[in-house]
Amino acid sequence: MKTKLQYTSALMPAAIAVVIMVVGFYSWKSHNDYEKGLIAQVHQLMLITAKHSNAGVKIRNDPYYHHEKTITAFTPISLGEDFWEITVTEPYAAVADPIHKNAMTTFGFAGLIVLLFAAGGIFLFKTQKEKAVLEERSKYVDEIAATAEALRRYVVEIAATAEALRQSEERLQKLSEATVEGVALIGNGKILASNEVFARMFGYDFAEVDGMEVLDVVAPQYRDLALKQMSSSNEEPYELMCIKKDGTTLPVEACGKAVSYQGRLVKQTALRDLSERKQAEQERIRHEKLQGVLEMAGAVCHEINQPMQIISGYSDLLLGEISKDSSIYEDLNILKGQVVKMSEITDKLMKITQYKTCEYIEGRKIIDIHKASKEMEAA
Amino acid sequence: MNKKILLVDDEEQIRIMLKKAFSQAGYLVQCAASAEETLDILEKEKYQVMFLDLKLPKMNGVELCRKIRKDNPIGVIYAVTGYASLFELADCREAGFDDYFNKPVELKTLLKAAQDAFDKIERWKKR
Repeated sequence: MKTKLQYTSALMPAAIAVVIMVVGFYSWKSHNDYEKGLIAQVHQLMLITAKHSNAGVKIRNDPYYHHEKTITAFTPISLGEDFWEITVTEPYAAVADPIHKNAMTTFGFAGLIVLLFAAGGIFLFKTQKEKAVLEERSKYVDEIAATAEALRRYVVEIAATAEALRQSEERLQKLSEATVEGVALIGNGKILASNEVFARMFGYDFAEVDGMEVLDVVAPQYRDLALKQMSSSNEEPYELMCIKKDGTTLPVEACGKAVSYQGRLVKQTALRDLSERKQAEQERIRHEKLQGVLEMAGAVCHEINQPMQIISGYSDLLLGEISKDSSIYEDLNILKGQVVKMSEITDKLMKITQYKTCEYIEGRKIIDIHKASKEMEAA
Repeated sequence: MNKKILLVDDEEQIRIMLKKAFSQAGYLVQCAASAEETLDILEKEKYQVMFLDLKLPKMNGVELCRKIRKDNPIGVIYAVTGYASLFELADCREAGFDDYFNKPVELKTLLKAAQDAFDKIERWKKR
């Protein structure tokens, strides 16, 4: 709509220019009949100035002017009762040339105006057309720019979504790595997917684990339990012994849960390494036992050493009092020697630093005093 | 000069036996059965060589040694114990015991310790 208006406004000056050209043309044509025009003009002049209807103009070859063409203007005037006629005759060239020149100037000026208008019209038309084209183009450019902007936004959105996905994946990965539990998805007795902790727990490479038979990592005596737990809906944690890649055993606490994975129901199993806990537990038991042994040893030493001191002291006193030839001297010496042996035992009891046992009778165990105090003696 | 020794042990038979042994060796021996009794004796009379049992009723031997040391930095004080853990032995050093002996200990060892103690005190006196 806008474009049509612009075309119309461009055509308007062109139309005006055409009209002016037509006028110019007729002006030029009348110039050819300038004689008729001249007469008409002078006649008109006479009619106005003389205010008489018989005033007139005529052109003729005047004998008074050597038969040159002359132009004569005449008008009757009344002077009293008489009628007179005033006549003015001039050589035709003297009147026609200025008029002709004037007509030519008018024509040229009109032509120039026509040319100017025409040029202006063409320029305006071209400008408007170009403007229209430019506006049309700019409209397309706007549309393209809008499409590009929409595309850019779409790309930004996709990038943002991709970044969010990447971050989410990274977060999940970090969480998966941060957990102390090995997690695996088990279906049809096979490990379908697992985290790195799971692989690390068993000494496998991450890529090795997926697709493995789950019973391959369970100690033979625990396989029945594992199968039973995997097929049950029990979500309570249970303990079992596993086997690592290098063949060593690994005590774990397992906890299974049925989850949906890739359109089917699988068992999500979380395993917690109990090695350290078991070790700490054993260490605690050993420590408690050692503490008990030390307390008992302390009590025994204190209580036994007192009478032993008395026996030993009196043995020394007696040995000092009797002759070496006496029949009881040797007996006393043996007695004292046994006290020394007993004191060696209590001395070892005092030096116990660790819990060590040895087999006694029928599977019963007793504290191995010699081994339990060995490190202390060595130190 | 008479060489006086103070023996502290809550076990009567040990006091009797040790008193007999040190007396035979020529020392003047005074016995006490508890820390409180020991402090009473020391208020009245000065002793430079002492054998203290670590396990005593109420105040133990380590605390008793600390108290004695406040007034007697030069005297020689020995610990005689039926049982002492490593930590108790560290406490013994800190409390000011010069040495310690585990029961049962041979009489000659204790007599030598007493002799060394008097020799040491003699050296200090000469300075």
